[in-house]
Formats: sequence, structure tokens, C-alpha cells
Amino acid sequence: MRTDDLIDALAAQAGPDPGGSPSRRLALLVGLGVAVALAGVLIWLKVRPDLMDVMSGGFFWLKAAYTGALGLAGYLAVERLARPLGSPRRGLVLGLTVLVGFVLAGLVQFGLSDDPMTLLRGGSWTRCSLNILALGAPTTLLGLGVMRGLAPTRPTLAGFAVGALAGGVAATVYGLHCAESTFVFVGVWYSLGVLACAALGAGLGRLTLRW
Amino acid sequence: MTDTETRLKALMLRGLEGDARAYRECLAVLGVRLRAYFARRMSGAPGDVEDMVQETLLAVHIKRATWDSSQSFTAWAHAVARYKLIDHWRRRKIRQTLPIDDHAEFLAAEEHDPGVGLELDRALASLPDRQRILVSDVKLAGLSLAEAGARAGISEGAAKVALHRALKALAERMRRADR
Repeated sequence: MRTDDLIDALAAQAGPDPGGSPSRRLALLVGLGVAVALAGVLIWLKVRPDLMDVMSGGFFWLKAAYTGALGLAGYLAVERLARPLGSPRRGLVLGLTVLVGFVLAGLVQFGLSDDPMTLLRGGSWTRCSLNILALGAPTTLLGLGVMRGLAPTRPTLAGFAVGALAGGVAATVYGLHCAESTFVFVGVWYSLGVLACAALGAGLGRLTLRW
Repeated sequence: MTDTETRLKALMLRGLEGDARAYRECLAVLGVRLRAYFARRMSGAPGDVEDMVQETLLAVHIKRATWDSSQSFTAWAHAVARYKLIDHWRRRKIRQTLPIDDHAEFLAAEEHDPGVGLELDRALASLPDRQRILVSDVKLAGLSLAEAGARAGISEGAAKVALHRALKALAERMRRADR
């Protein structure tokens, strides 16, 4: 085919991409991610019975702010990595800062405790990360689908950021179910849950985000 | 260079608002730039240059939502071209372990005229009939979307959506055809 003919066909499609801007698509993804995780908590895991009482406490919100910030870091990175020239620097800096800060607080709490292993195990250490992975995996897959419609040039990193976004959203919603309330527990098992989603995204992104 | 940027950016912005003539001119100017860009970097495979130009133009069109209009358009288009070239080389490495394919490719490359790409024809031939006819009606016969839609028995809006899908499928197939 002659290139001129191709250009004619493309010119007939002038106008904006009907799929909308990257930020609009990602906002939709976040909304879906919240809905999926919320459905999982309400139907499958159930909301913690003392939710109303703990909502007045500080740690409930601190935990939500931590995982929310991890999700936000993922979002900032994805929004850039969806474009050919995008640099994930802002998202990486935010994500690492928050992660290191929270894990350091966990280390201090671990060191000061009389019974650190009990803190580490909490009441649900065998399930926590896996639950977050289960709540975040569907959104990770959806997010990779969204990314395929955009133009990431670093597939592994873009997949990682998509997973961090999905995992952060899932972990934040998971706080409605999970009653764990120590820096040690959240710093280890919540972080691992979010990182598991990110790893899933990175692995699949490497294979699927070529265009 | 700055002049080109100012001009291309203005044309692209108008194209994104639905101005088909401006969009056509934008892609045509870009096509010339791309041809030079790829020819300089693909002296070992001059026959692939036009395919790369076409694949990149398709990508520019399909991925246009990822251009942030507060940024340089030529820088973005260059980044798309660069990605396509790296991708092309990555895939060529795989192909070079299949010398028979290489030979066929070499013979085919000998014959074709500049300005004509082969991959796109192959990709086009593999599309479902409806999509293929729609693309060739709009590209070859120069029909408007409404006319092409009437021939296919669908509305103008549906023709636009169908053409959009067909172009996406084309881009995907062109990329895979090279494996």
C-alpha cells in the first residue's frame, strides 16, 4: 500500500481518540478498582464488626493513608509511563518515601516490643498479603488492558506501576475488613500484598505491553 | 526545527479537533520526516523503511491520546518512532535465526518501489472482509465515511467506529507480521 493512501484513511479519522485522555481512563480504572475491592470485602471477607468504633481512632486512618499513598504513587507513575517519554520519577519517589518511612516505624515498634513475634504475626499474617493480592489482581489485569490502549515504552516498569496502583487501592479497601493495627504488621504484610500485585503487573506487563 | 514543531503542533491540534485536512497535512509532513529518520538508521534494510514509516504513522494515530499537548509534538512523535525502531530491531534478531525467511524477505525487498510498503498489504489482507472493504473504500476510492458506511449498510457513526477498530487491528497485525 502507498503511504499516501494510508494517510488518507487516517485523515478520515481526524478528531480526538474516542477512548478519552489517559487521565480519564485511569480515573475510570481507579473507580472500578474500588468497586471490585469493595464488592470483595462486602460479599466475601465481610466488614469488621467494630468499624464504626475504630473509625474514630487514629491508626485506622493512618493505615488507610499509607496504602492510599502507595496507590497514589502507582497512579502518578502510571500516568507518566503511559506515554512514550514518561518518567516515573515522581511516583517512585513518593512510593519509596512512604514505604521506607512506614517500614522504619515498624522496625522501631518491633525493636521496642517485649513480644515482637506476636506483633509480626498478628491474627491474620497467613492471609493478609494473599487477600490483598486477590482483591487487587482483577484491577491489575484491567489496568494492563487500559495500558494496552496507551503507549508505554517500558513494559515491565509500567506493569509494576499498574500493579502498585491496583494493590494500593485494594489494600486501602481491605482495611475495612482487617483489624490489624500495628506498624509492624501493616509495614510487612500490607506492603507485601501491594508488592505482590506490582510483581504480578510487572510480570504480565513485560509480556503484554508491546505495541 | 522549531519552525517544524510550531507548524506540526498547530496542525495536530487542529486535527485533534476534527479538521481532516490539517490532520492529513500533519501526517504527510511527519511521513517525510519519518522516512528520512528510518532511512538513516536502517541502511542495512532499506526495503523495510516504508513499512516502518507506515507502522509509525498508524501508531501516531492510534496512540494520539498519549500526546500531552502542553509538550512538544515532534519530541513525542520521535519517541514513538524510536520505540518502533527498537521494537523492529528486537524482532529482527529473532528473525535472523531463520535464514530462509530472511532470504525471502530480501528478494521481496529488491522488487518493491519506494513509497510502497508491503507489510500493510499483508496485514490488510488478513482482516475480516467487512473491515478490509471499509479501509479500502476510504483509502482507495476516497469515499467519505457516510458513503463507505452506506455501501456497507451501516451509519456514518458506525462506519467511523468500525474504521477505528480496523486501523487498530491493522497496527496490531503489522507488528506481529514481522515476527
